This record gives sequence, C-alpha cells and structure tokens, in this order.
Amino acid sequence: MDNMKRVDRLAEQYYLGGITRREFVRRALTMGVSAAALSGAVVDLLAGAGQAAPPMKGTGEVVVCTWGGSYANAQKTAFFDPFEQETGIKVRIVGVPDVAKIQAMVQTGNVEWDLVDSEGEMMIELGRKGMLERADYSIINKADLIAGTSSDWGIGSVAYAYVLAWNTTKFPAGRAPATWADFFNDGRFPGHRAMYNQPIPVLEFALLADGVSRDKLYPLDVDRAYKFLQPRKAEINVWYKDTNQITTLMRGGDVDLIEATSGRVLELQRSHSPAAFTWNQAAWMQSYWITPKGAKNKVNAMKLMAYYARPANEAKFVETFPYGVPNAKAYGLMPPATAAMLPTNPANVGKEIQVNSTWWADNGDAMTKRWLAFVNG
Amino acid sequence: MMRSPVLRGLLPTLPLLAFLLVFFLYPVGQMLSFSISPEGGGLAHYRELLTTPLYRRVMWETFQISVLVTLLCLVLGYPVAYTLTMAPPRVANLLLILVVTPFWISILARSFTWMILLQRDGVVNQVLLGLHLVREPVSLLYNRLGVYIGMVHVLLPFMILSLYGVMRGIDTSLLRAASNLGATEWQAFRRVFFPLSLPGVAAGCLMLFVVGLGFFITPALLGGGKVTTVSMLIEAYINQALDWGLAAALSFVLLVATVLVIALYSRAMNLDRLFGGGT
Repeated sequence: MDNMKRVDRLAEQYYLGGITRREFVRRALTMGVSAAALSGAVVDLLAGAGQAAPPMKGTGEVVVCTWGGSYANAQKTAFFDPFEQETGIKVRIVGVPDVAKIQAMVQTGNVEWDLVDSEGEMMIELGRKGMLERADYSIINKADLIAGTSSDWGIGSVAYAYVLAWNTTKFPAGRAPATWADFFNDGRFPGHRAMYNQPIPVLEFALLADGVSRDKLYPLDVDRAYKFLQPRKAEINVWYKDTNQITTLMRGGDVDLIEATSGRVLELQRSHSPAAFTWNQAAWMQSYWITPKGAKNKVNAMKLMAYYARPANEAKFVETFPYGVPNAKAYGLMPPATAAMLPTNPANVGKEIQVNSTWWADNGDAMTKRWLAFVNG
Repeated sequence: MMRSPVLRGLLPTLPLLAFLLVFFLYPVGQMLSFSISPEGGGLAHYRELLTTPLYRRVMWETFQISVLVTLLCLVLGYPVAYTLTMAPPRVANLLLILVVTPFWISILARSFTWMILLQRDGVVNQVLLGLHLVREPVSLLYNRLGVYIGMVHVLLPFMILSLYGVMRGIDTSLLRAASNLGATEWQAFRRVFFPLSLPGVAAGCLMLFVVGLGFFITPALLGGGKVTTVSMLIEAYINQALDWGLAAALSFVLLVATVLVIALYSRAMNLDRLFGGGT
C-alpha cells in the first residue's frame, strides 16, 4: 500500500513535469514495484499522458476569468502555477464570470477572456447563441471524464451539490432521514425545515419525494411538483435567501432538516456541530471551462483545459477546495476521506441526480416567476 | 430676469434641483419607460399587477409592517428623546452617542447578529428558558416578529433624532411657567410640551413610514422567506426572474402609493402648520 502511494506520488511528479517518463519508470521499478503490478490507475495515467503528450509548450499568455477568493487561490496552486512551469504560458487571473460581459465582448469583437469558469446554464445560453469556441478534444483527453462533466464547449471545472442534511442530535443514526420523501414527511420526522428560496433543485426534490424515478425526472413535470409542494409549504419554516444562512440556521438549532450544499455541511462538521447529510438523491450541478468565440489566446486556453483534465492536478486541488472534479481517475489519487466528500466521486454519483442545465436554461425564467408566486403567495 | 422674490429665493436651491433632476427624476423616468410594455397597449405589466392577488397581498403586508414599525419606534423613541432633552448637556451628549452608534455597523452585520441572538438556541431564548418564563423556545425569528425587531432596531435612531431635533427647540421656561400657574408635572407635559413636540412626531413618523416601505435586507434575512415586502419582490424580479418590466411597474406603483400616502397624511396632520410654514 505504502509503495503504491509512493508510486502515485511519483506519477504525480511526472505529471507535473518534475521528472521525465524514463525517470519515472526507472524509479517505480527500483521501488520494487514490477511493471505488471503498477496499479491500474497509474498505468492508465501513463496511457493518458502518452496521448496528451502533443506539444503543451507554448508562448504568450492565457487570461482566465474565475470566481476569486480561496477558490481562485486553490486553482492557482493546483493548476495555473504548474501549468506556467510546464508550458511557459503565462496565466493571468481575472474576475468574475459574467454572461452579459461575455456577450458584449463577443459582439464588439474585443474578447479579453480566454478561459472562463462558467455555470452550466450560462454555458448553454452562450453556446446556443454561437458565442463559444468548441473544445478541442484532439488535445483534451476526455476518455476518463465522468459522464456529464464535458460538453461541446468545454470540460467541467467544479461540481457542487445540494443535499439533504439534518441535525444528528434530533435525528441520530438509525432514525435519520434518507430520502426527500422523508424530508417532506413531518409525521415521521417532526421538526423545523428549511429550503433554498429558488426553484432549482427544489422542484427536482419534490418530484423525487413524490415517487418519480431518477432517470425519468427530465423534462420536469412542473405541475406535479407544485401539486406536491403546495400542501407542504407550511411545513417549510424558512426559505433561506443566501447559502451563508445554512450554517447559521443549523448552529442556532432553528432547523432540524435542511436542503444544504454539501460544502456547508462539511463546514458544520469541522466545527463539531451535530450535522450529517446523505448523497442519496442529492442534486449536483456542474460548472464548465468555456472559451468565448474569438478569444485571443484560444490555443493556450485549450492547452490549459487539457492540463486541467489531468487527474493528478485535480487530486491536488480538492485537498484545499473540496468540490467535485471531472476526471474519474482523480478520485483514486486522493485520500478516501477526501473522495467521500465530493459530489462527483464515481461512488456517490450513482445515488445522485445531475441538475439538467439545458432544461433550466430553456425554462428558467418562467420557473422563477411561478416560484415567486408560490413562495410569496 | 429674476425680478420675482420667489424665484430669487429659489436660486440657492438650484444645485440641489439639478442634482435631483439628474439622479432622481431621470432614473424615475427611465424606470417608467421600462414598465411600459410593447404588447397589451403598453400597460400589460400594470394589468398583471392589478389582477394577481399576490401583489395586492404583498403591498398590504408591506404597508402593515411599515405602519407598525413606525408606531413601535414612536412609543420607544419618544421617552428617549424626552430624556435627552431634559438631561444636562454632558449626559445628553453621551446618550446621543449611544443612540447613533448603530449607524456605524452595517445593516447586514446587524441582521446576522439578530439571527444569532433570536435563534432557537440563542441568548434570548436561553434567558427566557432559564427564568422559566417559557417552557419551549419561542419562535422569535423567521416570522413577522423577527422582522419587527430587526426593523425597529434599524429605524429607532432616526425617530429619536427627529424627535430630539424638535424637542430641543422647545423653550423649557414655558414648562416652568406652567408649574408656576399650578400645573402638575404631567399636566405641563401633556398640555405644553407634548403639543409643541408634535412637529417632531409628525416628521419622524413620515420619514420612518416611507423608509420602512422600502426595506429589503432586514425582512429578507429575518423574515426567512415567510415575510415578503414589495422591495423584496422587486429585487427578485430584477435579479432572479430578469423581468425588469414588471419590476419597474411594481416600483412605480410603490412610488405612487407612497406619494399618495404622504399627501393624505400631510392633509390630515396639517403638516404645513406643524412645521410652522404657510402662515
């Protein structure tokens, strides 16, 4: 086991350009690992690297527009800095992604951003208007990307999830809710409840609770969702407006059951608040790297996307920022405890649903109006 | 030619008028143009507002909250302003600093602080439980009560200052004269001081009511989605539903309703007389 870890670390070094392929094989063999015994993951890594080997070296710069704060810092450490080292391409980080700005840039022909960390709906909206470059999958290796984490326009950046969470003092193990049907069942699970004041993905959760199966969720049967929600509206004690409220609500004992982001529940657990959540029927949302049409450094942007797709980089990233990453192989390269926290961990994905950005891009505006009438009515 | 003394009198206000023209009238006009829709004879948004019960309900709720908060602030603020007026200057200054201190704290921080104080396991509930005043934690938050508490906290200083401004101008020798003529302290207050303080009451109530109508962050956070004000709805239409037309129409209705209330109020209270003008 220890040996395998060392080999993994070696593989990572090789990936980051610290050592040559030859050096990697030599050192792996001296560790007493026979070539045949190299873990599947490492062999695949090598195969992947072989494919992606086309020239990553480049010149000039790439302007990356991302969300700032600790998130951008984690991206810089795990991806952008080593990318600069390996390729010689300078990464300039700017903020923050904005659909209207991209439209204006493309329309005026002055595209300042080469790579943008975009929410799913934003990508669909821009892509349909022909405002995005197509991802170059001849240099980006998408063989190992989890289903749903790549599109015509780019590969996944991060994924986050809305989960069912509860207070473990009120509902200890064995008596904890497991499904959205439980969440909406005040008889069996008496307590205060809170949900995010927006229709995504409350409508999905209502349908799941009403017995719609995961694979038949889309297109959403909106009338059915509201028919389910209307009589249960009074049982929701708080419709919170800001995800910052999740920790406040749970710490203060104001709610016992909550629709939360997984990240916030982990934050509660780290501060020893009695909170737990389940991946069962969780809803994950994927963000993507996109390149606006006419980006000045398009080739460099594609190279950075290709670099981002490498599992070792992603495994490093989640150590500081526990969000879902797109490469399935990355999950084998990180500690199991870290992998367990991530929504797109292949082990978790099977229990969850992926929010369909295309459906919401098509129906979002009408849905928001109906939602406002429902919540405030 | 500025022959007329009225026009000449207005001259110093020109910069302010120009400012209002650019930063108030022009945006309001812009907003009005947003609210006119191409279809339905231009008034489709207004028709939607009139025919959907949601908007009438929210409008009414906003009105109720604003009136109640104003009255609460008056009841709580009047004794404070009175104390400030009667206290020796040193003490009054100190008290005044205490009154205005909350202005320096962001409204968002104050709202989150109230959430922590009022939550189910919060300080207030723990004290109530500890004193055996209640058997179960009371719901002080995520309902109207929470919104009232938060809004009163934010608006109270405005009420106190506007009352104090008028009370300070009251000649206290009048009170001494009243007691010389045999009035009890209460009578002197009720028959002399209180009537003279009414302009402050009128001004404070008007200001609080109007500001209260536009409240947004406090009810959004402390109401927990269970209380909706017009401005919350406007925000949701702008940022979430991206229906600027309807948001603009809603804003305009709020503006007209506010102006209407001010007009009625000023007639009923005879504001001109209270403020000492128009005679």
